[in-house]
Amino acid sequence: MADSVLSLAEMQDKLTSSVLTADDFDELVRRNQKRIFRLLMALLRDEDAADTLTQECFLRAYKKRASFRGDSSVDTWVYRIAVNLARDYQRSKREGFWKRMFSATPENEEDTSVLDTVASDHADAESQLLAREEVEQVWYTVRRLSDNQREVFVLRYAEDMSLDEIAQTLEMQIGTVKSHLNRALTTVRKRLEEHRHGR
Amino acid sequence: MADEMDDRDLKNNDVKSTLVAWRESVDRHAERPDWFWARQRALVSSRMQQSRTRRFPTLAWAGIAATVAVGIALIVPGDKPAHVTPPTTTPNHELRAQISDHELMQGLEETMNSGVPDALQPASTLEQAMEQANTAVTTSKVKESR
Repeated sequence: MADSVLSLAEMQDKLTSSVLTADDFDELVRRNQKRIFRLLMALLRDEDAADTLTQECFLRAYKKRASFRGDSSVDTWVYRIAVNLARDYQRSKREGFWKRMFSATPENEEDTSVLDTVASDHADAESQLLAREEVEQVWYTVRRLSDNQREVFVLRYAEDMSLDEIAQTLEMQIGTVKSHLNRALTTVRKRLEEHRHGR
Repeated sequence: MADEMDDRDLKNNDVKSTLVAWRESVDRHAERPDWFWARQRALVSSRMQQSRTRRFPTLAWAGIAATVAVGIALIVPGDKPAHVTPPTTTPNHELRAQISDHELMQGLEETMNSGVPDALQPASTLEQAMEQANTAVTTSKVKESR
């Protein structure tokens, strides 16, 4: 890492002592923007919303930098802001029913590029189709989980976080995280089984 | 991701492979070209700058108002002089100690003999000049009438 680039610890120190400059913040954005965008895509599956909320996430972090107390890492703190923004967005979207009436439903889009790779192990076209449909079922189910279940599920299986990290990010007890994760997994599994039996 | 949840929930079932496929699907969804990230950084930076400048006018106006107020106070002459040096007052008992009665009497005598206080000397000079001029004019008129 170049000398001019702050280490995570340095950034954390600066943020805690409220001396993080605009340049330092640019570095924070550069370091986290892909992960935040990816998280928001997993939570929302909406490119425009993920892009806008990623920007909003860093802007909010900048405005609220004085409130950062260093209880968690900077990354966890930024993740928490992103999750809260996604939650607010989902709620406002649920409230605005008409918006869904006129917008494209992302779950209907086919994710062929990924699924071609995923299904490459399968010998026949039917297996590929089945794998593609199952991934689509996961997307569909994730969107219909409760806020807490969806957040825990995404942080666990899309972001590959440990249960501890999830607990810190969502400010939950580990037992609560496990409980939400179990329910989410049960729902996803049930949906997949139904899909397999329904074919 | 090898901990108890994996063991308990994903072992020996094919949900795991589907979840791995789903994660790769998330990766693909989030993949963007470099220009996208650069544009996003520029937008964040510009919005941060906006939020800074939005706060600036309040401070700027406060500063400008303070400067103007000080400027007005300096420019407009007040009733009181700008610099008033307080007179250095010496307590009476010290004066008494410093100046003896004899010196005091001498000073008083000199003042009485000088006729005009120092502060009025220019006026007395002017008065003398005017008197001289009047005398000269009167003398010349008397000579003419003769």
